[in-house]
Amino acid sequence: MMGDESSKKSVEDSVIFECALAAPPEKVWRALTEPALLARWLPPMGPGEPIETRLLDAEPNRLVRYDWRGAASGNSVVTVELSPAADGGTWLRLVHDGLAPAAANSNAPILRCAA
Amino acid sequence: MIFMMNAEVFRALADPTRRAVFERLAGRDQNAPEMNVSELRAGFAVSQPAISQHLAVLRGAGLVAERRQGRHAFYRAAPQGLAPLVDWIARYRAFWPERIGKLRDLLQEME
Repeated sequence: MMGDESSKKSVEDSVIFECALAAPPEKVWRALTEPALLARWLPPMGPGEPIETRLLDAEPNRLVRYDWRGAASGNSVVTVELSPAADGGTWLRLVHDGLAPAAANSNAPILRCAA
Repeated sequence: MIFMMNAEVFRALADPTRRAVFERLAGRDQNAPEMNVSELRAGFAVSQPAISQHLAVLRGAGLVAERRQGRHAFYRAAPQGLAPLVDWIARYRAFWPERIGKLRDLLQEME
């Protein structure tokens, strides 16, 4: 039986971020996958540690998944899903999983960008 | 310094058995938070000295506290033990919105 105390001692192990982007999925896809473009918004530096990424999965214009290896924190997985929005833009959903190697609370609140 | 502390907590929890030992302690009711080594070992296919070794690493990372009473030792999850991990996640919660902001800027510049 897990009491209140145990829930305090667990850590949400994922970060979920959703955002509308004013560009079609094809264009967002290029920014996510062409190394020169990717480096302009996502240099290999996480918060406080260098990062090595390795491509795990790619479905053109729809999904890209990276193994995200932090120098100190170890491996986690970043998945970015793109879906076309009615206005011609893109709905981006980013899930960073496996961040905390501890008792996970899967109810990570979803972060949304300001409209 | 905070970074170093983080690395130690991550290392301590990277081992599946050690993580399971910690989770066992973290899941205890607040009224009876302590367990001894043989209780902690139950269900694991590892020796008692191996469990003690894991407990030593968890204590080193500040995740577990020990209380000695004569020949007996009792262990409990340290209340602030996971604080470095909570901080760590908080940093990523700030990191991704900031990065996606850069992605927006880039998308405007691309044509």
